[in-house]
Amino acid sequence: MIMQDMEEFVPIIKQTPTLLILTGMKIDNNKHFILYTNCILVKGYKESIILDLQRNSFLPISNLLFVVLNLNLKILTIGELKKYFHGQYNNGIDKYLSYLKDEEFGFFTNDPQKFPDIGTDYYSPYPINSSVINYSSTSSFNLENLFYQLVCLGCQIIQLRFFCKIDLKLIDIIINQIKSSRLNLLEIYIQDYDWFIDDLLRIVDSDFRINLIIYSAKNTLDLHKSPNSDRLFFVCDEITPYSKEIIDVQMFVSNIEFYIESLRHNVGLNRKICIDTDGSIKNFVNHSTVFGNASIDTLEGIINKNEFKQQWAVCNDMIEKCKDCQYRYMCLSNSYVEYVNKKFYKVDTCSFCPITNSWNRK
Amino acid sequence: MIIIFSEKKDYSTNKVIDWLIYWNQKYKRYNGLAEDEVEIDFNKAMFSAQIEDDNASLNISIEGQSISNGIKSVWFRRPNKGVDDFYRPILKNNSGIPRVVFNSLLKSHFTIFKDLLVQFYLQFKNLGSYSITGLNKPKVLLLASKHGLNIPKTLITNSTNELRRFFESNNQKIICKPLYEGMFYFQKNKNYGFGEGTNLIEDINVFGEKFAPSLFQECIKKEYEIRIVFLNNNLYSMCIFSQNNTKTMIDFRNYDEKKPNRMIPYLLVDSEAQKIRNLMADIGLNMGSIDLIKAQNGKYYFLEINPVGQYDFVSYHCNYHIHREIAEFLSDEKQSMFY
Repeated sequence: MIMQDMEEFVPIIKQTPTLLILTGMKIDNNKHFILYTNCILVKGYKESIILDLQRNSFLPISNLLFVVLNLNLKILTIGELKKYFHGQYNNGIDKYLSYLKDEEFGFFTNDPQKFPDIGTDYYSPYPINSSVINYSSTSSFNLENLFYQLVCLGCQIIQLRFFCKIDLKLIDIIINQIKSSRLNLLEIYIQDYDWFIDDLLRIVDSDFRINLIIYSAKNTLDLHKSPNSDRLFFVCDEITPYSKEIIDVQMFVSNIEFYIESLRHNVGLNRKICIDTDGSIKNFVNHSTVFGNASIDTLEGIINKNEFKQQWAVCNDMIEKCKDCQYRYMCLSNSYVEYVNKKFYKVDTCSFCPITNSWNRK
Repeated sequence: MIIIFSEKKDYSTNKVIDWLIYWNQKYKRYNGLAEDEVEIDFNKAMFSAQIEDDNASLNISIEGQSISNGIKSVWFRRPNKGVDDFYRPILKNNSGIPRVVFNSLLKSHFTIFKDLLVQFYLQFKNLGSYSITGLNKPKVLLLASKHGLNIPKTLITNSTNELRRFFESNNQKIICKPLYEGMFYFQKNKNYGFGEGTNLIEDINVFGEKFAPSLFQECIKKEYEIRIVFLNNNLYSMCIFSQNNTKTMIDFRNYDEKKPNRMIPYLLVDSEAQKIRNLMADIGLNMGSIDLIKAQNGKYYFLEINPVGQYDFVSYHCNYHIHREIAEFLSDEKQSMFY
């Protein structure tokens, strides 16, 4: 999804200084040190992280520091922690705990039991959370009815991609469907057909939940200075029905909602229903498995089928490569997950390698 | 049918309704009059309340429909104490009586009916309070103390001399808090909110001889703050580490967007939790938010109760699912009200 102020959504990556740089202070060995409850230790194959769910950031740490912090620090005082390692890591413990305290990843306390872990229950009142719709000149399903159904199912985010020229009145009809609904965001992609800027502005002005993206834009137009022009975008890239997503640090999400969902669900596919140009109902537009057709079946009927929901429950902890990756609770992917030889694999795999801890971009 | 009294733009109500919809629960939401509101539910409605002399039953109809049937629960989320959701002012009158006076009299007539309506609703399971939307802070402090909670030394005064005495006897470090609440004022396209936060007083020479009645308290050295959402005798507690940031040390609402205070789940010790339960029962509230301080001396200090405060951020940061809990309480035939 395109968002204008990307910077505020990109997680802040902090850097752990090496021991040589850290000065650290004398700490009270009788106290406990615990990480704040919304700072989560995540083990990776070669490198680990502390995931900061409150401040949308993460701190890469060594696997050794992971081991130290992962002990039951609510039971062990700092003195007992040092003893556990036979005094081998006293200096490192002093310095890193001070550092983590200064950077507000953790704190010293005499009552660690007063700070319970965050409950990991995930609940959602929305049978469907998101939807992607591909619409082309050959599409014969009824968009108005489709939106009506999505809205009834509590859908929060819809991405509608047009691959043909349309009468903008069709968008007015759709806006009418979402008017009093609980929808949070509607993104519409239309190719540049030399639209009148006023017509486009009228669309984004009619509902503040709409982002309108004009793709394959011919010139870089100056955005008209309308109060809502920050929701009207022009991009020169081409969008295709099966555009591949690029997994990158810039797209990672570090917050409580995302984290809790990622523990037992595939965040990308969970509660998502997609409709392809021919009306095929799928988990995602570029998957090949079809569960029904929007011209014939109701969405509610499809989501009540267990087969449709199978992909929802395959979380990153279950998938090869992802399960070794320190970013697995921040990463959203719409890839189809296949089950081969009793193992799960993402068909569209990203360029990160947890074993070498590097991105192998071509 | 679940009845909800709220405001048009209340996010928390929307989130609870999401669950009611999910569980196919019938509900009716009444929003108080907002400044831009043109259509209001009750307003044009014809209503009647009939009292029978056999077992003093009360039957209320709105628009010809009896509302007596099928009410499961009522949630006074942000009940509008006025009768704005009911009445329309008379715009013209030839009586010679000033319009303001006339409308005030008319409002009082509607108030009688509305109070009767609310009394009718009170017989069902209810959450929140119609009558208690704001509290007398000093009174609550006294009551809290009676129930065994520690409270900060407090002074309410309009006199600088009294203030000086208090200032000196508290190490020249005191805070000033709002005695009442903030005010909101709506005009056509602008919303105004004004009020005071909590301020540290270190120099009392800036005050004149007297001032409006104000509330002062000793400044307690905090280890951290605790915000508790109280829901039908359950306490959902969150710890706020406001001490790490000079911006938020005195009033954590001076939010630091770049480095927000740490907010994490908290387990309040049972003895203090029970005192709070007793206090809420005494006041007659089954829902509200409570502020405490954990002082550096190890003691807990009670600060105040807000019967209609925001609880969404507590629910979010601690993953407490409070909206779901509220919806479950309202929907559940089995779950009873504590008092």
